[in-house]
Amino acid sequence: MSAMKNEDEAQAGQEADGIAEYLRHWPGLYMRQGDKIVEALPEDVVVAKTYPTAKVKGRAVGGIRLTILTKKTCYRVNEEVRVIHVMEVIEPGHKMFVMGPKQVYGEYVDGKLVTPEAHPQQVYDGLVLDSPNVDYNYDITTYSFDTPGRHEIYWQVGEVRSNKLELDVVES
Amino acid sequence: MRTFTAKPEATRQAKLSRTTISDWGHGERNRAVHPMLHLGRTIGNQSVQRLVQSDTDALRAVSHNFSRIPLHPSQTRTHATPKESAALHPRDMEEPATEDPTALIDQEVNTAPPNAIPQQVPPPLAPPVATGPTATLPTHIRGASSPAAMPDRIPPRVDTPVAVTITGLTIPMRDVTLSIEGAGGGNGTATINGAATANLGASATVQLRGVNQTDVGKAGNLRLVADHGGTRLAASAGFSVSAIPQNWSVTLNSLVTGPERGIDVNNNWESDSGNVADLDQAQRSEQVQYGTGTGCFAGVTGNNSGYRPANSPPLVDHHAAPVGLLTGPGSIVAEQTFIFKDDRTGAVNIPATRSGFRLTRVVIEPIAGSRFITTTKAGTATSANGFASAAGSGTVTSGLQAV
Repeated sequence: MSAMKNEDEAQAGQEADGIAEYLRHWPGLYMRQGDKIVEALPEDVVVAKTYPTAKVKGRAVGGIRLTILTKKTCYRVNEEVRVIHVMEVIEPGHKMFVMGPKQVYGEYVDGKLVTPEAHPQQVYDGLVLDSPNVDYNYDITTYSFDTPGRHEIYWQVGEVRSNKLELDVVES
Repeated sequence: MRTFTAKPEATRQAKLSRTTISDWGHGERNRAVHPMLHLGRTIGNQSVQRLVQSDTDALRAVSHNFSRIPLHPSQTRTHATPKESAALHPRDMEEPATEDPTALIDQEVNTAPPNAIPQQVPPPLAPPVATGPTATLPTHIRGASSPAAMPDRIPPRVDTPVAVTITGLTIPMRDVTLSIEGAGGGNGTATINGAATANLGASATVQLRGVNQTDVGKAGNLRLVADHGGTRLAASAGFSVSAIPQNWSVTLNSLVTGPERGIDVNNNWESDSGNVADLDQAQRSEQVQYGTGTGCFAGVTGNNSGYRPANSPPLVDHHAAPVGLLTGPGSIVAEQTFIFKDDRTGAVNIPATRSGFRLTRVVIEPIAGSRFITTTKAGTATSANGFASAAGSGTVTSGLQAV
């Protein structure tokens, strides 16, 4: 069992501290501002940079892992919730299309699809990377909740579903 | 060109001396010849010199004024090549004859008529200020390959010419010494004409060459300085040693087939140091901005790649459209440029030199139901997402691909 785990880690390029080499490189985080692409807000960058060491990530399916992150898990009513999206491919042999920020498809809030479900047919121009690697270059989605209680968010692309964020929303 | 110059300490001393002469002249010279000058005329310079040595107050009153020493072109140093060492020249050890205080006294004596009648005349103009050499350095030490938005820096491994202007340096003065202040300790190192220091006897263009690159977090701690006899004459602003990416080029990697049509392109670039391994603290990002698409390409928006390490070119760019999108004629043009950041200097979002490309897609349908697409990437001076660059090199095209 232990040997198998070590083999998996080696396959993912992990170092002794459990962080894969490709996760040590920070490519930046971007957002759209009108028709411009600008650097993401510093507080969003802070959240995204927690990904390599995050304890909760999505389950890898076919070597692909989707993870969503928020700054905290408890929000006030109508407070903005900003969701960071990360795709990690832990196996070699995949191409990663890292241009963006890419629109998010297949995001669910409280069980309801709140974005288009699937990618439309699109041209692609730019860098492709070989896996294993990580891609933070997705739009940051924002939500607010006008009712207190527990709310859930997850992101699903095909068979791959992200971790489920469970957010507690309380009265102001 | 803005420059930093510093007046040497000797200049300030000279001003003090001038003030002393002027005060004395106002009080005494116009009414009567100073007793010391009288002595000089009657008993000779040798005796006067002994008096000078015994009377320090009088010595201050006749402080030597360099500006009165005639300077002939033949005395001006003309050598511009750096010397082997900063050692004194043999003649540097000699006292110039004109520095004998009595020589000045002789001048004063000889210009005074023997039986001059004291009269009220305007005080003479103050003599010119005695000055030592001056050196002028460029304020900004920058490799020619530095984009405008880049902090001051020079690349390693290659020469950066720096023009140094020196004035007022005459025999038997020492040379002006150039050195790199702050070198080492992670700040980076550089040579001047291949050595740690260079001695200049006249204006010259020296070659700075970065050796050790500046560590991250230690940017701008190097200065080119010019010293003369322990006096700082000039200093540049701070600069760093770092390599940056430039000169993008493209070659065909492969045609894209299957569910897409287009081209995969090898994206290559150079380091301005000549060695891409020097780019280990630089990262590059590509920017793509689309024009208005027509037909099947309507509604496409721009993208970028985020930053990726710059020390492992080439990377592959994928330029492809899904077959399912190519439902009819249409076209779209995308502009592509590259930007970089350099952790050594702290520079971010710097447009890379000669990294512009234009991507063109055209779908035609010469016969109903039979479509072809041509995808082309060509070096072009352009701008994407606000970052402009001159043309990269190379052109890659798919030719007509059946959809």
